[in-house]
This record gives sequence, structure tokens and C-alpha cells, in this order.
Amino acid sequence: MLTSKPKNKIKRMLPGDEPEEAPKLRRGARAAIAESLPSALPQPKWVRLIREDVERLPEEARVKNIKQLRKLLRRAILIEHTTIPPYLCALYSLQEGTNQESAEVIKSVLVEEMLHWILAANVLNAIGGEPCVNEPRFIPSYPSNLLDLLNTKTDTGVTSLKELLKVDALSASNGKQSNGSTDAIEVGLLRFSEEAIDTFLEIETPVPVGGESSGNPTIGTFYKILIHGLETLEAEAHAKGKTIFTKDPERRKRQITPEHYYGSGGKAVVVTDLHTARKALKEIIFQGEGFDPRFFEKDISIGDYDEIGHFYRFNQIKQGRYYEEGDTPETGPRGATLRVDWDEVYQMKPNPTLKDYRHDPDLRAKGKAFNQGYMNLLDKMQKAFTGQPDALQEAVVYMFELKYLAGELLKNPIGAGELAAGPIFGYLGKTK
Amino acid sequence: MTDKIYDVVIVGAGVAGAVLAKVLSGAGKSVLLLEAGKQAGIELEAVAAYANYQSYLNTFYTASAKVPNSPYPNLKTAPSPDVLALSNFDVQKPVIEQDDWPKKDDSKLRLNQGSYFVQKGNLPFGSDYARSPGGTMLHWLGTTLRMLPNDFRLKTTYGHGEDWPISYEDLKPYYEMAEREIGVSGAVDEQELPGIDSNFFGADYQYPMQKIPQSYLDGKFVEQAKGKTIKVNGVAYQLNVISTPQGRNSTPNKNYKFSAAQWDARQKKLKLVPGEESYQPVGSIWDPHTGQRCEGNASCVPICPVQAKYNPLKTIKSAVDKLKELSDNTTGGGKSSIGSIEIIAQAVASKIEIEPDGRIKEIKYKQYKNPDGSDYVLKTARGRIYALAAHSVENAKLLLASGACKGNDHVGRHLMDHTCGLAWGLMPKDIGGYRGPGSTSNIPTFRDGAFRKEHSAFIMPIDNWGWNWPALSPFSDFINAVNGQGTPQNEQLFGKKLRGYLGDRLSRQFNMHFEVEQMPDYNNRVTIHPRFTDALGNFRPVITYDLSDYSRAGFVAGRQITKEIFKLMSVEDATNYDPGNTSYFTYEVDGKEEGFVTNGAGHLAGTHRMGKSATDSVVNSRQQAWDHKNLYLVGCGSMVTIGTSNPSLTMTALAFSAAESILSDLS
Amino acid sequence: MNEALSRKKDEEISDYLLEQFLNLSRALTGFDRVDLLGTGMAEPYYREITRIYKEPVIRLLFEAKAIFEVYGEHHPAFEDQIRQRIIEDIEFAQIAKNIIQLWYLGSYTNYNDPAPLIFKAAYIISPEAYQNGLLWPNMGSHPAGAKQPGFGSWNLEPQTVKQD
Repeated sequence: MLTSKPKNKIKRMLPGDEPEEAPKLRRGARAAIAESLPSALPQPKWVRLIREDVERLPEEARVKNIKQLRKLLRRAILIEHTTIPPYLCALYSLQEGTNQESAEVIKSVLVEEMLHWILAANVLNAIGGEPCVNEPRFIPSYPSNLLDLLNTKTDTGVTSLKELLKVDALSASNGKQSNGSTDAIEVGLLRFSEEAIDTFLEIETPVPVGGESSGNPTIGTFYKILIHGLETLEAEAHAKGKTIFTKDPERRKRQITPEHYYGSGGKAVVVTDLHTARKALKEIIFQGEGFDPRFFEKDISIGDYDEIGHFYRFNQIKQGRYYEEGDTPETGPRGATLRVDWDEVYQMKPNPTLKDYRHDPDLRAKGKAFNQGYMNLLDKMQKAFTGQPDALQEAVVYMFELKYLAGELLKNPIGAGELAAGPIFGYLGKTK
Repeated sequence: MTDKIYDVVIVGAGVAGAVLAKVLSGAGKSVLLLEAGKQAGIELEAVAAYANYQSYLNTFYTASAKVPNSPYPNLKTAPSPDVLALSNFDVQKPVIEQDDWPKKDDSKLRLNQGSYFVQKGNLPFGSDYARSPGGTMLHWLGTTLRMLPNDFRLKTTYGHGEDWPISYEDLKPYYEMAEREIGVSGAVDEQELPGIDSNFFGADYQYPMQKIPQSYLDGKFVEQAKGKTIKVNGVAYQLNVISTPQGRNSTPNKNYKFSAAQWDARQKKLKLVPGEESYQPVGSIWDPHTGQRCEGNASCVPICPVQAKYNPLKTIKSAVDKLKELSDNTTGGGKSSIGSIEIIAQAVASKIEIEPDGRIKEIKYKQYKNPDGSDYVLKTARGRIYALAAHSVENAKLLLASGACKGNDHVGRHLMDHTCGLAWGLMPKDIGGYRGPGSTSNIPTFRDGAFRKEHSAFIMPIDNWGWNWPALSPFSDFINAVNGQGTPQNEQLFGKKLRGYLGDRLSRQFNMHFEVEQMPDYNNRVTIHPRFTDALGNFRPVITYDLSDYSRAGFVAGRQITKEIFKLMSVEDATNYDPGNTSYFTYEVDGKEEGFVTNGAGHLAGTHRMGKSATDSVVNSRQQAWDHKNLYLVGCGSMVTIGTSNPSLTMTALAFSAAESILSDLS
Repeated sequence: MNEALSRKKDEEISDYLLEQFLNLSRALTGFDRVDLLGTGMAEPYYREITRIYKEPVIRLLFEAKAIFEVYGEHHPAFEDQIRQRIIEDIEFAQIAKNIIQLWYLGSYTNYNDPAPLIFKAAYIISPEAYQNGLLWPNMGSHPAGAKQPGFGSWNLEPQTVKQD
């Protein structure tokens, strides 16, 4: 659980919560937002900036009602879930005792994604939604296009979120035509490789907030719309002396608490109101499928290994170097060497399926055993998200089991070929 | 050599030394900690600490006999006892010439091959300890039981053993500090113990963490045994089975309210103060996020791979980190009031120098570079107060080597341990053994009661690791199965049959044991002799050990009860006490001699016991040597009796109490 | 013969023998090929057993191969053949038992040693060998100190012994 990471502890570069300095917004925008909100709900700066961005999008991009918001949160749960198996595959495929530094980097991101999964469920439960993680349509399949997850009419009631994302990218880059705008973020189950890391970088691409844009739509934009919706609906409810957050004590018992979730990914946030919902969502967007850290402060440095965004963490593997104090997104990592050995890896077939194992009944059985373990894990997560948070303990037991089963698969060649078997993360029964 | 005079010089970086160092430095004192073990073992910086611990782990993986000391280096310069050497113990075959051993019991002197101990008792002393930074609690099981009120007044209540100069109530606040420092997981409301009242824990007391989940086999056991009545020596007892409090990380208890112990200079008291934040489990020394929960490695003894189980290095690290934090946040003159801990490893204390007025002048220690060599540099450490916290045997050795505490001849005497009897058998069905911490439940019924007038008390832990302890399982089962020993038709098994046979047999293996209290016997002792020294010329312990009839009778009662329990639960009894075992002893049961095998518990205690008067004890109730005002003897050696509790928690409590006494002396 | 060529030939031979070793191991241990390969220890174990016993290992592999070829592993007499010609064979018994022991426990024992069990050297060939012992999962557990199953797992019903 350690690396030769830089030892200098550097102050957290991500913005803190309230109290915060006065926003440096254009006067007009500030006035517009201020008018739309009751004074009882002061917004942290990051929320104001996000709102400002979303207000620039067409009307259709706004969440209209609580139903839409819940749908978006269910989507968020699925997005967070979808990132986990690819990261796990990269991690599992490292041969024992090799690439320890890369393993630590991936692990550090993984535990945070797991926390995000839980946080998204906590927010959804807090607004009276029904999380679902163990039904086929809420189980990712690989390879898949992450953007497709966002691009669903039913979710926001808008024509196409993808289109909106493009609009957003354009507007954020001040009308300049972006080059290299992608329509897809292909995620798959790949062994640790340069290709896999490139995908991870794409998943975690920082989105600008009120700043310059790479021109590519990202998950960050999805979260902007979600957060804007949450803020708006709660503000509207608040104006009527109501709230979108449930007061039902049974519902409140659904929250996953820090007692249930432990480890290095951060603390589980119990969501009961707007303040705690912001805290949970902030944890997701600032660690995760990232926001550009600089939207809060200019010239911030990227020195602290533990606290830099996922994109920058993975970039360290790509560049073979750690960030150190004083580094910025422009300088790239300039710290200690991070040794990567791309060859010390089990040669897992990309996106394996049970079909790949059909000629070997024992291997197929092992593949199925893995899928069964994954299903068991999801069943426990579902239980944990819908009223029995203690079930998380059993889910963790399945996590351990999956790791050992994956290890066995990866050491088995598929037929006489060069490629090895690997975990499928498939829905049992889906395969014909 | 340094001329620095520390406030306190501590010998030994086990739990007693660690707690002393933490409390004293936290109260602004300068502390020197001398540690005999290797420098690598005390590295607290993440990368080095991790690397060293991994080397322990890899040594454990490849050790053919995974005995308690197997992961830790056994040094020529600071040797540790080896329980494997017990097998060489032969009552009939003394191997030492007696020319320079003038006592009349020379003929019993035995020097076991490969052993650090020289043994001369009727029975071999079967326990070990670890001379590595962190001490023997590197390989403790993790059981954290308080002693019971009657344990402190055994003589008065039952006419056996000795009374302590302090009561349970006196020690209680320090038990709470110990439970905070170790991080105990347990359920207070489940602790239905004999001979206690509602003040035992006090109103609304909680452990820092919720209980460690009890094992699946505990559940099976409870189903069948709890509430049942069994008869022992004509008396009927209702069996109770409870969860065992343990020093390993579990789910934090939201209702636990204390922060660390703090020194109140005005009242001259250590106090556990209410904390502002909820309790946070303490992870490994290399990564606070590792070991946040017990992960079920099922190897607590000898090593917890993730350090979810407490070890004293955590205390040392937290103390050092705290001092650094204080220093970083303090400017200018304020810094001088901050305490300090200096640690010198590979430094074996060899002699205490005593002034004519009885005060300790200095401690001489031998510092070595090569742990396999015999070279050293003799150095001196000076302090205002000295605390020996080197382990009961090592403390006694050092006192004897220095001619200290000569007011009576008690140094090294009253050596105690729990004598452990094992009982094992096959359950009718799969009980899912070999999983989880070594023991998660116990039968407390025989820890106290009127029977203590007749025989020793004992606790009966239910074990989770099959026949690992009694029969070297699963290794022995494997060897026997492939050799066709004990298999159906003595078939030499292989293939699917072998899998089926071992899977079934191992998953039904059940073991429980009884840890029998041993009295402080004057003749059970540690001593030294110039003939027996280690590579640095320091003394090796010469041990005389036997079991009194009172303990043997307790042992027999324990065995009887296990037989009753096995009947009750349809366990196929496989208990077998081998007369060839060097720890075999006999006792008359119903008019006929029966044989038993005792096992050491690793609970060494009592070599410098505390007492009310200077004539019958070595230290006073403050753990201060009667004969040397600036010398404290801290650890299990100060215990008067051992009760039925694993002594680690009591030792930790005593260390807090000693720290308070030392602070009050210094102020 | 040039060196590169000879080395290549050695590799080919060892690949072939490794396959025979896996077949024999299946018959001796009762675990299928996927389980055995899943440990990642096939090559180290083959190397260790040939290091200790040398040529007789090769003879043993060919003996096993003959049994496989004549009877096939589903033949009713297959098991008896393995027993008579390998397990009860003076020369092969030791080797066979140690092959099983390597897979089950990652260790090697001198079966001719009359010493009491505790001193019967069980030489664990590497940390990895210990951690990949198959005896443990076979009883629904894991090697003590490795492949930990997670908090509270010991409270759950044990997984029944896997028999295929």
C-alpha cells in the first residue's frame, strides 16, 4: 500500500467548502443567479460556477422535475459503476510483485470510484429515489461507450445530451470550433497497457468550468447538469417552504455511513439535505471524472499524490513520472520516476466473454464462477442501497473473492494461443 | 556516548515501553528508549516500515513450523526463546556438566539444543517471547480481557496465591486507557462474567469499536451449548458463551466517547478525556488506510499481515507523529516544552549501575552492528528516572545481573504462565474452521467461583483454527492421508478421494482450550549463571518450572468439562495426550493416575511482583522498586497473580499507571 | 550444435514434459487443469521436483503417460493403475506424494524420515508456493496469513467443499 511517492505534503489544491471568498463573476451573471435563489441557501463558489455554465446551455439541458433528477442520479450510479471493472482488470492483470507503483495509482482511483458509487446512491436515496444496481439494464457490458450512458432521451427529457455536451464544449471554448471532439468514450476490459491508460485518461478528462475547454464532451458536463438540477429544484422547493430531501426515517436509514464504508477512498457522506448533498457530489466531481482543478484558483500546483484528480494520477503512469510540488497541468509531471513495466502483465484477452472459454469446460466454469461472484456482489450492493447498509460488509467479502478468482483466470491461457483468460464481469444468464 | 540526561530512560520497546514513552513524551518529558532488537524493526517511515514488515511476512510464509516467533529474527546478540526447542527437552538426559553448578539439583539442569532458555525444572517452560521492536505483542492473539475483582484478592477470598496491593477498582481507570490505546473491539453488554457487579465496567461504558463478528463455528457452538447445564465435581454449572473483546479493528462504536489519556499536571493524574471526534480505527504503521478492519487473515499468531491487530509499534508511531505535529505547529520558545522520544535500537541493556544511596546512576548497554556477531560497543544511558520494560524474564535477568533489588530474594521468582489444556474433536458437520481471528468467543463460567478454594480457575476460549494448535493440522492430516494413516482401510489417498477426505475432515475439526491460572510459586523462577551467556556475554535465563497441585487440579477439571461439552455436542473426541511429549504430566483422578499435556500460553508474568511490603515483593503498588527510588519495573513481571485473563491488557493498564507515577515523581 | 538451437530444444522438451506433469498432477491431486494453472505454480513445482528427484521424475511422467494412453482417465481401472504403478511403487511413491504436497501445501517432505512430525522437515519452497496451496480453498478457507477473505467473512456460512 505504498509507493515511492513524493514526500512533501502539499495543501489540498481543491477548493474548500464555505466560507468562501466573494465570487469573481461577471456582474450580470452574479446578479442573475443571486436573484434566482433564496438568500437562505448561500452557494459555494464551485456551485455558482457550475450553475453559470449550465445557464449558458439551452433550456432543454435543465432538469425540470424530481423524476428527471432521480433518473440522472441512477445514471450517475451506473457511470460510477461502469468505471470500476476496467480499473479492476488493469489492476488484476499486473503480475504479482511487479509495477507496484502503478498498482498503487490504480488502487487509489479505484477506491474513490467505489466511494463515488456509494455517494451517488446516498444522494439518490436522500431525494427519495430507488437505486438499482443488480438488474441487467443497470449492469454495464463491455466494451461500451460511456457517452451513450449520458445520451438518453428519457433521462433529462431533452433531445440528446450528447448534442448538449457538444454545445457546452463549444460555448466553453468561446465559440471556437473544437478539434478532435469525440462522440465516444470507449471503455473496455483491458489488461494493464498503454491503450488501457489512454482510455482511463479519456474517462477522467477534466472539464473546464467557466474556463477553457479541450472541446471534448465529458462526464463532468453530465454532473454539471445534475448539480444544477439539484440546486434549482431544492431552491424552488425551499421557496415554497419545502425540500426535495426525504424526511422519512425509514428512507434515511438507507444511507451508507462511514461506519459501513472504510478505507482510503475518503469518507462516506450521509446525505440528508442540500449541504450534505453538495458535499457528496463535490467529492465525486473533484476527485473523479474530473473538473479542471484550476477553475477555483489560478496556477494551482499538483503536488499531492493523494489528492490530485484521477486524470493527473493516471497521467503519472503514462508519463512515467510523479507530479511534484509546483507542477501544473501545463508542465506535466516533473517529479520522481514512476517505473512502468508494460511487459510484466498477464496477457488477458480484451473484453473476454464466456464464449471465448467454450472449448474448455473447466475454464468456462471458472469464468462463470467469477460472474457468479460479481452477481453476488451486486446483490449485496443492492441490499446495502435499499435499506440494509450492513450488507456492504458482505459485498466486501465478494470483492476479495473476485480478486482471487480473477488471478486464477489470468494465469490460464485460452486454448493454445498467446492470450490469457480474464474476468468477464458479465451478467449471468445474459450470455446465450 | 552522549552526556545527555533524559527525564526517563526506558529499556524495551514493547507495549509497556511504548505506552510509557507515549505518555511521558506527551507530557513534555524527554525519553530515551533502548531496544535490543534490530533497527529495521523500529523504522517508522512508510517505505522502510513496510519493507521490514514484508520481510517478516515472507519469513512466516516459508517457515515450516509457524510458531509464534517464526516471522521475527532470532538474533545471536539478543536471542529469543524457541518453543520448538522444547521437543529436545529430556528429563532423563541432562546434557550439561555440573562442575561449576554447585547446587544440589544439578542433575536436572538441561540445556536444550537451539534454545535460549536453560531449563532445570520438573516440567519445561513452554512459552516464548519476542525480542524485536514492538515486543511480544507482535504475535499476541489480541484477546483483551480485564482481570476480575476476585483475582486481586485471591488469598483473602479463597485462601490461595496472594493478594495484590491494589484492587480492581484502583486499576479500572487504567484499563479504560489501555482499551483506548489498543483499540478494543467488543460488546460490553455481552460480558456476563462471574463475580462482577454492575460497576465492573460502569454505567454506559463502551468499547471503542463494536465486537469482532463471532465465527460461524461459534454460532454452531452457542446453538448447542449455551444455557446447558454440566456437572463438575458434583456441582452443576450453566454454560455461558460470550463474545471475546479483542485488540483488532472492527466497526467503530459511535457511542464511544473518549480521546487519548492526558496528563493533568495540577491533579497529578492521567485522565481519559472525552473526545470531540468519533473513534477512528488505527491502521498499519506504513499506511493508515490499511488494516482499518480485521480482514480475516487467520494468522493473528504469529503475524497480522495488514496490522488490523494492535501492536505496540502503532503506539510508538502515534507518539512520534504527535510530537512532530506539535513541533511543526509551535514556534520559538514554546518548542522547549515539547517532549521527545529518542530510540536507540540494537542496544542491549546489560547492567544497571547503582549509587551507594541506592539510586540508579546509569544503565550500561551493549550496542551491536552485526546481529549475528559478537562485537559491541559498551555505552551508557543516564536519566532522572529509569524504567525497565524489557519483559518479565529480561527485567529479572537484568536486575540479577546488576545486583539490584537485593532487599529480598524475590527477583526472578513467582514466574507464572497460564497452563493450557487443549481438547479437540470432529464435529458432525462442516463448521467452517480455519477462518477468522484465532478465537472470537469464550466460556467465562469457570473464571471465578467457590471452586477456587479447591482448584485453579480457568477460561475456556473456543478456537477457530481447527486442530492447528493441538495436532499441527492441516499439515499432519495431509501427511497421514497420503500415507494411509487413519484413513478408511488405511488407504493411501490421492486424487479426488484425497480432496474429499481432507475437505470433510478439516472443515469439521474443532478445538477448544482451557487456560488455567497458575499460582505465584516461590520455586518457579528465572535466574542466571555465569556459565550461560549469549554472544554479547549477556546472561541467558535459567528457568525452573513446575505445576502445583492446585493448577493440576484446575487442569483436570477443565479437561472434564470439555469431555462433557463434547458429549453434549456430539463431538467425536480426538484428544490425545502423548506420554512421549516433554510437557506430559500426571495427576490422580478418581484414584488413578491420568496423563495430560500442558502447553505454554506465552503469558509470562510475576518475576518482580508488586506488594504491600518491601519484604515480600520487589516493587510497591506504584511499580517503583522498593530498593531504588528512581527505578520502575513495568510489565507483566509486576503482576502478583495472573487470574484467567490474557495479561496484555493488564500490562498495558499497569504501564499507564506507572507512567502516571513517574510523571508525578518528575513534577 | 549451436547454443541457441540447443536451448530451444530444451525448451521444447520441457514444454512437453510440463504437459505430462500437469496430466499426472491432475490425477494425483484431483484438481482440474484450470485450478492447477490458476496457482501460477506449475513451472516452479516441476522445476523443484526434478531438482530433487532428477531422472526418476521423467520415468514417472512416462509411466503416467502410459496409463493415460492405455486406459484414459475415465476408465474404471484408471485409478487402480495410478495406485498400483505409482502410489504403491517403491521408486515413485515418494515423488508422487511430494507432487501432491507441492500443490496442496507448497512444501516438500522427506517421507522416509522416521522423525516425529514436528521435525519432519516440511520445506516450503517459496512464499508464493505457500500462498497458492490448494488444500486451503478445498476446505472453504485460505492459507493462514494470505488471500484474506475480508471483514466478517468468518461469520458467514462456509462455502461447501468444491467437488466437480
